[in-house]
Amino acid sequence: MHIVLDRDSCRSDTRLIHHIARLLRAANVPSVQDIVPGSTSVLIAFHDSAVDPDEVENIIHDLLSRVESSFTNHSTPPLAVIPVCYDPEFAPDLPDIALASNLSAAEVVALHTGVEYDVLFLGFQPGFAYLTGLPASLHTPRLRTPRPHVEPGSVGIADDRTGIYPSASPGGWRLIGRTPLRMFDATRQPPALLDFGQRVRFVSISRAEFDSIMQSERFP
Amino acid sequence: MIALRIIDPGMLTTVQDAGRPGFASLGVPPSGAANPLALLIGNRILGNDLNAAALEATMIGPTFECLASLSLCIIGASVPHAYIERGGTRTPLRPGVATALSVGDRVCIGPTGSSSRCLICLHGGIACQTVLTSRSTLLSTAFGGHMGRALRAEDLLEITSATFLPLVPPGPSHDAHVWLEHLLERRTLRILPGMHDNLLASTTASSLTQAQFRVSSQSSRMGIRLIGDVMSLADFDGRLPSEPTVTGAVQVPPDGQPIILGPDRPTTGGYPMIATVIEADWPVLASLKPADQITFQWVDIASARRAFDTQQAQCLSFFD
Repeated sequence: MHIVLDRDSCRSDTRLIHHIARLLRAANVPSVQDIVPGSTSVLIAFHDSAVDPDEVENIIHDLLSRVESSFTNHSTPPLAVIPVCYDPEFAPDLPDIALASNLSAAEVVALHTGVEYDVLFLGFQPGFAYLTGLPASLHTPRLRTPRPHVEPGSVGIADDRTGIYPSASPGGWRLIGRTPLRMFDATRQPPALLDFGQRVRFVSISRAEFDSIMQSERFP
Repeated sequence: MIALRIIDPGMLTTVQDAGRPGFASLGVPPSGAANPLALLIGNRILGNDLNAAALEATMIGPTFECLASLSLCIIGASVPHAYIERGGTRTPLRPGVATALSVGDRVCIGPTGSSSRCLICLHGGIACQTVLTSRSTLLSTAFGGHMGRALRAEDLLEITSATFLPLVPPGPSHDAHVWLEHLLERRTLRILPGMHDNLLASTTASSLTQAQFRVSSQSSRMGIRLIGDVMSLADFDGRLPSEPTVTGAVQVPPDGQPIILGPDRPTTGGYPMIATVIEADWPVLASLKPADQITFQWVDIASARRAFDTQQAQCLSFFD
């Protein structure tokens, strides 16, 4: 069952999507396996065989009818602070972004670390968080040809989004730094450091600090 | 206890159980046996927990040596050349039945045959670490299963010591295997409208069911790539905001060649999802081979539910 929000509805879609997802999680609807927020929709995956599917749909519709009244814009989402080293070794695409936006490398870093981002949702890879709120002057299209290998912890920019690759993979985002934090670890609780609805702030650290945190994280 | 030593891993063999649904909001796909029916039948035949982990073999299965007394069942493919070598003598290994093996026996699966994948179920189930509630392997992020990777030569695998139940004799259980083989012959995939079916021009929607598609060798547990007439979508430039995906979702990337998403898929995607293959046909998806031809058929939700419920009931009836 895929709930798609009306695309013409109000601008605070993201908050509404998160609210719906949280409401559904808390309701513990029988036989619901997964609640997955997306850009304009929430996927509710449930296993038909256990419970009468029509009954489950009724429960969900009932919950949704109460969404508006329980929706408040006043809650303060938790803030996650992510240390990032913006040294040239970790930022192969930073010079291009600086050039394109007519800024110095230091100014790009100041802009990237100067705002708070919202986690839209996780997808693409385990623990990969799509962040919204990137300053307009840093908006840059993806690489035409993706790199065959991007190191875990790489911080990138693509169009109006920024994000962190939790694992090694091919990648087309423009790389501007690296975090020593392990963004996803299947054996840890919680497995992913970020969840939808969180706020995120980046903080610039030195190479020495990066190495020291990496050491204590025991990155494989 | 250590049960077997891999001599030849075959093309791609991984540990899979029933998977880990429930973590898609973290970006973790469900993984698990691509053919859930095969896992159900194989584990039932052996008297296992239904979630017991098995080896999923692809195209060419593994060869291994038994280091302990075992009982196994191959399910999901015909494996026409599978054999056991014992003291210099080879005996054929039949799928769909529980087979007792002794220390020193060498098992060679060989080509899977009619189906691209088969499961090698073991009594007690493969014992490896549980990660995020499951023993299934996620290759893309290298966790779960046997060290997060496909099996290699010299790998040693353990099974959970289980009280040895009497073997289920050939008869009802073999019928389950025959029933499954017949089910896997289907080449018409039943589909429901997908999230973005509004992008399908009415001409494309009907031509979708008239077209034949060929399975590409560029297919994997992440998705099946299809080759056929280029699909055009009305009024559309190729990208959408990312939305959650499901197994069986039919995506149309800019090149117009559809992809059917599999159990290891990325959990969100920006390509239009125009249809979803119904769950009753996921076993067929798991068994498709490169060059297989498929067609699509639109069905409604009631039919999809009926097909799944009937299939489950029929499967379980073999074990009453």
